[in-house]
Amino acid sequence: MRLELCSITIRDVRFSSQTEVKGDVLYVDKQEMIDFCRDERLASIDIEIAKPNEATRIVPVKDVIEPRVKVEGGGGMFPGFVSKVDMVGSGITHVLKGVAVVTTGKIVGFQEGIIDMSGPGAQYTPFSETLNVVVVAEPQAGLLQHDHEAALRTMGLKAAAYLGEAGRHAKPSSTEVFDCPPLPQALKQFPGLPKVAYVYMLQSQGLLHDTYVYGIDAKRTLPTFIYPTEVMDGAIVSGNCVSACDKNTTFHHQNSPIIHELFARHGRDYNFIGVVVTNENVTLSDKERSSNFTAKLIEWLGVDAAIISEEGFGNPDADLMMNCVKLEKKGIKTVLVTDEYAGQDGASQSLADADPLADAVVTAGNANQVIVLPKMQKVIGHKETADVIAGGWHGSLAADGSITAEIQVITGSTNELGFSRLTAKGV
Amino acid sequence: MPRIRIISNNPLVALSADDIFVPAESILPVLNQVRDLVHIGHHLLTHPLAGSLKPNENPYRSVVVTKEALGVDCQSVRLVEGAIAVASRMLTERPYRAWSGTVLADLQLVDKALLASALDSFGKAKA
Repeated sequence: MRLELCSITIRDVRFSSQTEVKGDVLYVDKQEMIDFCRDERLASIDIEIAKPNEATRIVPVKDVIEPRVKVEGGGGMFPGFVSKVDMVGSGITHVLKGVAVVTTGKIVGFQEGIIDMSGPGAQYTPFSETLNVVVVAEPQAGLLQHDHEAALRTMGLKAAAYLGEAGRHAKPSSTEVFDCPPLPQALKQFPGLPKVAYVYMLQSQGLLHDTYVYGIDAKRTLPTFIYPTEVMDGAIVSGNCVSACDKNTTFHHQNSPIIHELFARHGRDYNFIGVVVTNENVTLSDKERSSNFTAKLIEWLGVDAAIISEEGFGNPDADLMMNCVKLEKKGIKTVLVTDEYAGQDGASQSLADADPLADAVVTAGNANQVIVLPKMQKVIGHKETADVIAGGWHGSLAADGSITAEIQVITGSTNELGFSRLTAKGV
Repeated sequence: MPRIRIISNNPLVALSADDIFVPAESILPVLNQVRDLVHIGHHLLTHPLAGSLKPNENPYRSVVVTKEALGVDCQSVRLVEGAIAVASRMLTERPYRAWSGTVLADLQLVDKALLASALDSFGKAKA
């Protein structure tokens, strides 16, 4: 499976009478885009643009999606949702690099998911650096939470596909090629280098905590092999609306830095064999079954080591440890990627589960760290939600409009795929 | 399918005679009840921490254990003790907010939905 990922660099987004890419500007026909995204479950849809360095806050963010389009090869973007469930991951895909679709909506009473386009909060989210086309939707009266979430999720994917289509005939500014040979060939590549696989854990506990693979709810799947290029073509879609800091938005899946870094060092430091996607379910029997199958699949791939990334905190810490321990006991070395809830001073136990075999762990940051977000001139979404922020507390919203809260309220601040700028440096 | 017992403080969850309702607006009394059952040999069937809402954000929790005491299970002990440690520490640092009735209803709904996800996996009817 071979994918050419072609980036079309976009430096500005403007509303216009026609949706198109001209030079490095994306023009958007607002009304046509609204009509394309329409859903009978949604009473109204509006679209706004938020740009880097503006005094703008977007809240409450549900998903972030990168506009892409399949130009050559089988299938279409977001199989199982926007396109049929044909296999993706080969051919040519165009990316509107620098643009993100952001969806907002009040599905439940408590809220989170803040993107500040400037100020101290902007440094904690990668989406302060993208040109954001924000889709604000209101549900029909009486729409149930399950249906509201599904409507917003589908609307966001349609919005990204709509914008992506504008890049179909645009000239790419750069191209990356990702080659994924079948397993027998992959194993023979680069003899002498360690063979490495990636265990990609997906949140799948239920309402507001779900992820989809080719349209199927991940909780109803067994761990399976997936080519990394399938992930880049939107095979994994987020329906995860809770825990803004460490949920993987669809944008994160499309741009998984672990996958890209594995490719970057493929053939130099190790032989990247492929990806196993697994779930994070509620029951312990599901956790045992999925970690058993993950360990079996990874062993069957014949690799020496695996990177395991978690999504979320608490409950999935158990999945993380089960995956780690079962692989280590098979003689397969593991490196875990997680984040921490180590208290506001960072001194407390970081995870809800642990094991001595988990001796190589990368942290993506402490979600309990406190930050003050100053008032913004403009709020896109639902400004009244600032008073019911789940990562805040009574008095979080001050009279001057500033919000004092933990960084867990910021979209992507401690992303466990490492898609952030947090770092630790030795002194 | 295992014979189950639900321990819950969520008024939205329909409980049977085998289940235990904990009259408290906090996750800790629920976890303590679960720990007591685990210590006398009931096995955890769901993780005591469910969902991405933190223990100091959602006061409602429903946990499923085996109906019968089957002998002390070390994994169950480790998980429930770990959950209590996390919940206690988080609640000490940042107690529950005084949510409105609408928000509380939504928090109950999320807990009920996560329990339903577990019951569905067990092949049981929805809560």
